[in-house]
Amino acid sequence: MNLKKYLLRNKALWRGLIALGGILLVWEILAHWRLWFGYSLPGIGLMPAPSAVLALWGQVLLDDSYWVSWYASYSRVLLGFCLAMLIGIPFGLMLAVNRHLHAFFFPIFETLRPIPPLAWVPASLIFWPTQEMSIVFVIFLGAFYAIVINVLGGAKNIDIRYLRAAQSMGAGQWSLFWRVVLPATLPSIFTGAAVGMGITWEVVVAAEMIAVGGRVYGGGLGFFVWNSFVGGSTEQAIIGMLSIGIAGYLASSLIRYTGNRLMPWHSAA
Amino acid sequence: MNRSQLGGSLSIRHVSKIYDPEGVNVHALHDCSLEIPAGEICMVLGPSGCGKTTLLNAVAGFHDISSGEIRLDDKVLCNDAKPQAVQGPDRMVVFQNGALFPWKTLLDNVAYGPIVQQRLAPKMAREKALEMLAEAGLADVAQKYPGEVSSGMARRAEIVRALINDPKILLLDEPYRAMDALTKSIMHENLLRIYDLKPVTIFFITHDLEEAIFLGQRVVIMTTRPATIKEIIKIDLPYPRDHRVLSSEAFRLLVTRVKASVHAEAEKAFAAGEKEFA
Repeated sequence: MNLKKYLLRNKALWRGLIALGGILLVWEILAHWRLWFGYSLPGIGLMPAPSAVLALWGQVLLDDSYWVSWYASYSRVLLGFCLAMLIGIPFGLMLAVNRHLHAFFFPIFETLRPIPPLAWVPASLIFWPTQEMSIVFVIFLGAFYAIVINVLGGAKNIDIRYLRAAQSMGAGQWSLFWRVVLPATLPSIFTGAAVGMGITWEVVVAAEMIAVGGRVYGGGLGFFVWNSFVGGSTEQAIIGMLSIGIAGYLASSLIRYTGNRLMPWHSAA
Repeated sequence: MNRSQLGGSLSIRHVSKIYDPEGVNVHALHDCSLEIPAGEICMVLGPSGCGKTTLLNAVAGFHDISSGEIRLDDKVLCNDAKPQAVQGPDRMVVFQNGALFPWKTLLDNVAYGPIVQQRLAPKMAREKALEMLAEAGLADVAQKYPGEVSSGMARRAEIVRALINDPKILLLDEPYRAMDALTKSIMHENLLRIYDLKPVTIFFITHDLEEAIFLGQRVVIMTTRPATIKEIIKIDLPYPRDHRVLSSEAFRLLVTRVKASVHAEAEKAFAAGEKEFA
């Protein structure tokens, strides 16, 4: 009963639902315009109706190739993203802590960073032995730069008072790193992770459209969209787009949740 | 308790400090000499940007000095041969804007020192920390993060975090700077209570002259940059002091006297457009 009361009184929820319903309604009307009113609106082309999309989605949900696409994209994203975290966080911290390493690596890093990950697709297809590895590599690059730049910035801008206070209290280098530098950088690590995760979804979809030719199984959501378009089903292409949106949302929620768990002081402050 | 037997006398002899970033000489301290007996509350008062913090940083070991010598009891902290003191728990600093670790609860902040020094096992350190926080009236908020408590509570906890390390001298760098007058006055009475419980010398930097007179046994007035010691005024108000002292005749006479001395320096500093200087 309480939950029902809560849902009824939650104004933000109702506003959100009304906005969503409104958009769907306008979309539905526009999609049927020609049929209903006998003429086309200038500048508006063909558009599948949301009701048609939802109806088809109901069928697609039962199709296992749809879920294989989810699995394929998700596993690529998570693999590339985790590699980027595993290499990017220590690399960023190292550049922040060591002046010599910074002088050595930073110029190279800054030269490579402006190259969009997708520009790496051809070179990476030639370099890596499998298509799968080249896609993961491109995803890795997309997340890697965002993570390193944020970790580096965060670790370099630690308030000197924290370091001085810790040293005055007798902290050695080891304790200074684990108990001061790392927790002080954690918020930046999660900012980098959130930005990086956003980029991985952009990259995976485009990379799948370019690189996964001629396969129906395991193409991923990007391929699903492209294949539906080529096959003439705009409804199914839109199902693919919305699925990517949902997948990305789930991934960033996971990062936010982990961040809040690891940094209780951050949500409190 | 006889404070002088417990150590903590600070001796600053002919200390000068010239900052030299890219060849621009900034003469921050000039031939400062000051003897602080063990257990004294010594207030250092001067206009903003005069070099008070430079002096504190030299004692704490955050910066080197250009010449002179600083000793804590018989131990040379720094001199011409060894211009930068080594930081250590015998000299604990309470910083201007607070430096509690935001990622640790107040309790874990306080327990940090004994744990990293491996003086106490983590469990013992936390017990001791809780005991000391309780003494300072912070038992209820011990499990909160610094971002969840008021600035007054955070600053009190920071003083507890300093004291748990049994420092010989407490270095306070305008710790109550950003507080309103009423909170400040509560903080002052609290600091004096803590001082009564703990044998520690206090070196307190401020530009608030009422604060200096209310807390101190002596007020050291510094000139504007290059800072040197202009005058030392003994504050013979009896302890324990509470807020009623502020409206006494003796207090007002002291304010007039200190103001006369420090005002001229503040005017010079203002005319020179001095900025707050690390």
